Amino acid sequence: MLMTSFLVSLRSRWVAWLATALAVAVIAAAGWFLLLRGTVLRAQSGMNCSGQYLVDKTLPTGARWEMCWEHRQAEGIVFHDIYYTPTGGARRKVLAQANVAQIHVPYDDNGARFHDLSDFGLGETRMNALTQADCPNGALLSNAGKNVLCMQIEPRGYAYKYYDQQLQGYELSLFSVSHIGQYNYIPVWRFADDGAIEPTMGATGRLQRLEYNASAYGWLVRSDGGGGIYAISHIHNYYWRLDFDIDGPNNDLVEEFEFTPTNGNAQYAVSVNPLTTESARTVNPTRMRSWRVRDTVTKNSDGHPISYHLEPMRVGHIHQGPVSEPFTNNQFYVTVNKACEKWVSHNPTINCADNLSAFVNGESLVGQDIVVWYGITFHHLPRDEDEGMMDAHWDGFQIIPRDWTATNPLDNVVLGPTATPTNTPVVVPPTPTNTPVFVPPTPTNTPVVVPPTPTNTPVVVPPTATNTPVGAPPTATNTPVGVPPTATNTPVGVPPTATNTPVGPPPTATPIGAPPTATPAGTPGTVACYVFESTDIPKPLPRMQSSVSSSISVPADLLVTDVNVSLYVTHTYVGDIGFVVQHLPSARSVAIIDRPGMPASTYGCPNDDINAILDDEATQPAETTCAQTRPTINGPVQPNNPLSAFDGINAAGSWVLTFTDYDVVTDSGALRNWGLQICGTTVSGTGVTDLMEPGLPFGYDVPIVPVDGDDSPPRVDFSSLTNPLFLPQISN
Amino acid sequence: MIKNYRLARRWGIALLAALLLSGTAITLASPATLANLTGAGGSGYDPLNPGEQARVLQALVQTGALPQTARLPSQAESSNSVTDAAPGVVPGAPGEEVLLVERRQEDKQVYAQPSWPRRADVYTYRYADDTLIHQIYNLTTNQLEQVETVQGVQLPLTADESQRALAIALNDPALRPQLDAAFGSITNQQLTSGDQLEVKAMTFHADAAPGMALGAAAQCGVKRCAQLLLTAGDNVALQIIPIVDLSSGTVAQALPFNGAPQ
Repeated sequence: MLMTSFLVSLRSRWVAWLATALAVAVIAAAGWFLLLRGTVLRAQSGMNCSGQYLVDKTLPTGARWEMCWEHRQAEGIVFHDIYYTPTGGARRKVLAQANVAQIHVPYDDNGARFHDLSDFGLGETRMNALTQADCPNGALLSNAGKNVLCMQIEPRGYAYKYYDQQLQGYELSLFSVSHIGQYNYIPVWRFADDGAIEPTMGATGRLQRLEYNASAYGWLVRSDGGGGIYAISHIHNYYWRLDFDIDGPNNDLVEEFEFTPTNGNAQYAVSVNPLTTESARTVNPTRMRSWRVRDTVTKNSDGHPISYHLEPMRVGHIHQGPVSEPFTNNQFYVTVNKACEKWVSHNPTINCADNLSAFVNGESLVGQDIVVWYGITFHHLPRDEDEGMMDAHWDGFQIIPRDWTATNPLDNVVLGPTATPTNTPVVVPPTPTNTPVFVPPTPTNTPVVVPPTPTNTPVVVPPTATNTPVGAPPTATNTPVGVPPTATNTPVGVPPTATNTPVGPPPTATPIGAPPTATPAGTPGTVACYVFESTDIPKPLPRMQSSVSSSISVPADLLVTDVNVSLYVTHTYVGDIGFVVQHLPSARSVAIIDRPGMPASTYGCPNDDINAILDDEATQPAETTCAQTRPTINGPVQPNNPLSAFDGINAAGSWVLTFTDYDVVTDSGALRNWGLQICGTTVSGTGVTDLMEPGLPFGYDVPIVPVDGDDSPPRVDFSSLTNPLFLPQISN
Repeated sequence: MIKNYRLARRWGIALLAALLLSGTAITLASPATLANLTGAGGSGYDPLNPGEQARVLQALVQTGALPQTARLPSQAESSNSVTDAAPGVVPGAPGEEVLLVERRQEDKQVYAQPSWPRRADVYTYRYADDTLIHQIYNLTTNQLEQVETVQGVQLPLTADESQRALAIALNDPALRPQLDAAFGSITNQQLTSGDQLEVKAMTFHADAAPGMALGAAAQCGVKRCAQLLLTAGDNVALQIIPIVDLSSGTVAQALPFNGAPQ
């Protein structure tokens, strides 16, 4: 008996040891693979960022923009290493870094003078979580599980027009939204196919300051029993920091352009003066003053130095503040690049000056890496239309290529025949979260063939079909408006006439902008629902650890019509936690729970545990559920974002649930179990036999108990989580 | 015994399956997703992910580079309404408050290299002597590389600081009647809780109110101060901006809106 016991024990240990060894080997292999894969990917792209933080878009007219982006607490979104490749031209760097550098808001009554970027911050909790409704036809890019950036490709009207020849241009647009006080600021960056970069700032939300009887400094917007209510006039001084690296960080020179009237204002003589030391300059509309940054070495094929030219646009308002705001005295600044010179005012960094005017201290720019700062002013005299929701107002400027190419690079884009306008160029199917918009890369060898857009083409609008949320991906049976028309789907608009003769050869390439097809190969069968349970649970999430994940592998091809998620989690403060489900092969992900109760309340739902079935068809939103019993979220609930984002995909492959605790300091918990109920049609002949029997029960039996009322110390006993076979009961 | 053997075998199989699955998942995932899932680092300009931020703080606390008493950052929203503290109860200031953990923006010479170490800036405020402590932590080598201190530099408020500033304002015997009156004139109701106010809090520098920041408020910027933007009713601003000195835990000044010192 003793011997038997010893042998069995030995075998048990041997099996466990073997499993551990194999597992370690698998992890090591995966790690090495990843390391190599990451290195290779970065080496291929040449960009110093990864995943969602890399933007690489080729516009329908063939121009390409590449850049990295970063989220920061004060600046919000910061762009790095911006490269422009003109259609058929050479890839060159334009900017090493570009970001908003201050939003300064002094009120006319001196009742407040805000420095929003430094004192409030555009990032972190101030940055909005965007939804597909914020980003029609675009792709949402996320940071730490929050969608913070909307990426869209937009038509920009004529690139040129001459007699019958014309070209419709496009631009890449990237924006975020920051909630500062009552305001919502919208920094937008547009990168056009002609190389123009347009930094823009939108301001909307609600008016910040309304006061009784302030006629000297405001505008009467309403009255009540206390008298007239005035909205206080104020200024928005927007500043941008542009670290130019024209074809690299070396050999950049800033020149100031001015036009001096001569001959009784009948003639204007151009002067171009290099700025060789750090400078602070005002705009001068009567002299049409502007600036460019040029490379002193790299030239275009005409032998002209390549450059980018900054054109002031809004110069109707100029603000020069009190002596405590010397940075308002000028609009254009050029300085030697220093990493600690970050913000225009209240610059916090140690060992650097406090504000932009002091950054300009006589240093020579010759042979130095230079940074351009530019500010514009908008004086906002509120109107009745700003009451309620404030009408969005926009300000910005342009930097445009000067002599980057010897001729217009878009001349290389050849118009397609007008006789067969079978595709509108802007075809951006509604995309799921985190999926890039424009898939097809354009060959760099032009000509790029773009079918012309019919006149009066309606704006492409995402589908709003019955039972389908706006922005949800198209299902196989629900063709949205805006999908490229098929032979039977003629675009609305005035058809081209015979007099509109096309220039260039007929198209030989596949039309650009065609969306990927959602339907996998195979013949759909009968719709049935299958349940897949996690096998790698439980997953503890102790203090000081921010996230944990669990995977489910769906073995067989299944064309999804509906997805529900079961979730059993113990946690001592559900207002701190969030869950994202991701299907790896399709790269689609949905945030199903995101800190319930936030931001409606400051800290969210304070109660414990979740035992829920996340179902689009449920009536009670998870976000607003917070029972005084445990589990505080119990039963069927609506996810924060619709799971219909998975509709239409092939469900085969790995599904990953990521459990994040946004406050790692105080509370803890564990993922006890989760599962997927996937309804769909099987794809014939591909692994159908691997599917579980349809119609299995879904969910977990968890007793409901009163809230213990005590979040501290953490209630989870981690020692009880060591048994991997722990499985709650499956209920009916 | 048989049961034990089966248990061990199931252990082994389950562990193996789990690791194989996670290996598959990791292999398929993008580098950024991986970073978030595994707590591993991003690359290049990628922001520090929550796992990296937690790792930095954990290392600093464990090595004593941050005192155990330091309050670590909360991810709670600080821009919306702040729950009122119980009447008469003002949360005490911690000895140190961690304000920010963020990827360090390096010099261009560093970016010119084929790769660069992943480093974090950690900013902590010490109220006792109004000092901002800046630590540079290298996540590649797991070393604290540099510590420097400065005064007169104020980063945005944490959620905890915003909450504390409102509690100080509501419990100030001189300011409270003014807040009650301003609130009452807008709503014709009695102010009984901070939840009745829409509150935005941001750091305050004396130079943001030239000629108006007087007395203790004139020291704001050297001291760590909060300005509270309060609205009530249908988005009508209370005609008063409390300036709270978080260093001393007192109200420094109540700025009126009409441009004249009060």
